[in-house]
Amino acid sequence: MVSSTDTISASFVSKKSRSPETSPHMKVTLKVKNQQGAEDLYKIGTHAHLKKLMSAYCTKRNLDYSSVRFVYNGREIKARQTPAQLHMEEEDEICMVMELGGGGPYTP
Amino acid sequence: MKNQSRVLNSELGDFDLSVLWDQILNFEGYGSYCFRPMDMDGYHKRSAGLNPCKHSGFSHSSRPMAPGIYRYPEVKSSLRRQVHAPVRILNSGRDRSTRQGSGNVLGTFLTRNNDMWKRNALDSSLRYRTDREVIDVDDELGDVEMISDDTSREGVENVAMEVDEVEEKAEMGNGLFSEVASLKNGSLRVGECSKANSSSLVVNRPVTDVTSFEAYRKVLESAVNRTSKLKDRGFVDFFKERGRALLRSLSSFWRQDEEPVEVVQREAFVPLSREEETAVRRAFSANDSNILVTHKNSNIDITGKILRCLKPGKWLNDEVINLYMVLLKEREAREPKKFLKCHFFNTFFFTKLVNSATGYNYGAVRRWTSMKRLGYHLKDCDKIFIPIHMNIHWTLAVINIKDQKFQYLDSFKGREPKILDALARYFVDEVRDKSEVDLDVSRWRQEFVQDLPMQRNGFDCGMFMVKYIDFYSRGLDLCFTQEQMPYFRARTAKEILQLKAE
Repeated sequence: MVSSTDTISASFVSKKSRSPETSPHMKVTLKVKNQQGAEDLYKIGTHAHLKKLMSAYCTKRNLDYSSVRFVYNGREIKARQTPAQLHMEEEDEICMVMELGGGGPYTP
Repeated sequence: MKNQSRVLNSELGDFDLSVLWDQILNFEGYGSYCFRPMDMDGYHKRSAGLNPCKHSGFSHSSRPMAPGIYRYPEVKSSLRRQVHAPVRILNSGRDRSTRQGSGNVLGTFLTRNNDMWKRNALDSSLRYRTDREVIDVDDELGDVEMISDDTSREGVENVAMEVDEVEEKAEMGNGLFSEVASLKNGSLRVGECSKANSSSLVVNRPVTDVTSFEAYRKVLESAVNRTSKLKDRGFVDFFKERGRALLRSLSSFWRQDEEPVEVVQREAFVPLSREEETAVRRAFSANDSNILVTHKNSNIDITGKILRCLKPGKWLNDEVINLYMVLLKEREAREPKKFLKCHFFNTFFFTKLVNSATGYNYGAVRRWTSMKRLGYHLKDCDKIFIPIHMNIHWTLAVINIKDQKFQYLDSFKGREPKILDALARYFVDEVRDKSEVDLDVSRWRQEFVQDLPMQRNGFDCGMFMVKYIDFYSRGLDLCFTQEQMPYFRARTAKEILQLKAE
């Protein structure tokens, strides 16, 4: 359940990120590529939160949203960022990486 | 001569004096000096007035102090030991003490060359420059001490001393000759000899056999005397000041804010205060979804759940490592002179560069290091750190541009040549893409670092990797152990909560 404050802050970020040269209804096609090289294409508004894309991908691939990372140009994407904020262009590639953790197999 | 023969016999054992005479007369090119055996005791009595060598630590050397003054021919003799002494040349070509019984051959020889010797002596005295030395008269000992400005000869710097006039009077022979050397306004005036009309400045130097223990003892004593005199005159303070000045002049070659290694090392082990420990404990017990800190530039949120991976016994999470890499870069930007210029890749980099499906793929990471994003080229860095995630194990790869080598650090001492091969290929591609230069890394070494702290459990590899990066970026050796891991975990948690690596 999303609270009203969250909605306000989300819409605020979205409005703030709009640049004069891109219209609010403009859309961009983005590629999401996993570690095995499989690609999925998603069309999303330039000022829409990328959480929509990330959630859709996790649902399609049956993944736990909290255990995956989406990386664009070396930086992790956060839910409330938009394609306009990240200066994404048509057919740009987003990398999906599983959460990495490790301690090392102990072999005495 | 009998007396002299007796002295020489006692000094050198039995030998024919004429052999020594022949030896001396066969010398060539000895300028204004004639060498002959003589009564050494008598010599020291006569030359006590002006002897620059006696207390100054001078020894017989083939290297002249000033051109044309001390010029001794090389002696090549079958004798085990010779005693030579320079002697003043008179108009007649002989010293008064040797007039009787010295032989016609010697007299003729010396007389024939007398004019030449006088000319040479005058030339050498005119060439003698006073800025090469300072003559100081020691009242107690009554001898002359020369302090040369040429450190290769004496090891003592020339000190500007104001001397209005220094006069030296030396009686030589039977008191028939006196010579005055005046140092006036930087010019050396050579006084005329009262009887011989000789204008040569003769400085007497006894020749010591340096192979004997007695000679060594004398040299040692003179050195001790010299040191004490220098101390009395404040030379020690002078040299200390010169040393400080030299250090100041060299400081431009050093980093302005460079600190000793001990200080930097201490900074890597600063203990947490009570307040910091309390803050870390509170953060570890926070709710899973509670966002503790958000780093705006990297847009990384650290929740209670993520931070808890820093508790002892937990596996390190990639987001903690990525945020710490960003903090290390910010630390370097804050104090660039204190830390090496480094680039810290995040944990996703190598996963994208090389993966099981596509293999090596430079195109996947080509845009990660644009000049617009970073503000610098990777080739301008000293070191590039690449965290490597291998299934459930963290290791570190380093592109060490400074030392031209690719390094691999594994807390289990594993070896992965393929990783270093891929990084070598990446670095060549990166430099070609960004700088349009074909870099040859074929001579760069691949080093699998073995002399490094090792983990002795199944959960600390991430922390080891992070500290390898931290210490290398400080320019330090890896001087920590498994025992310090709990401290490093708490310290890393504190730095993440403060969003400031120290």
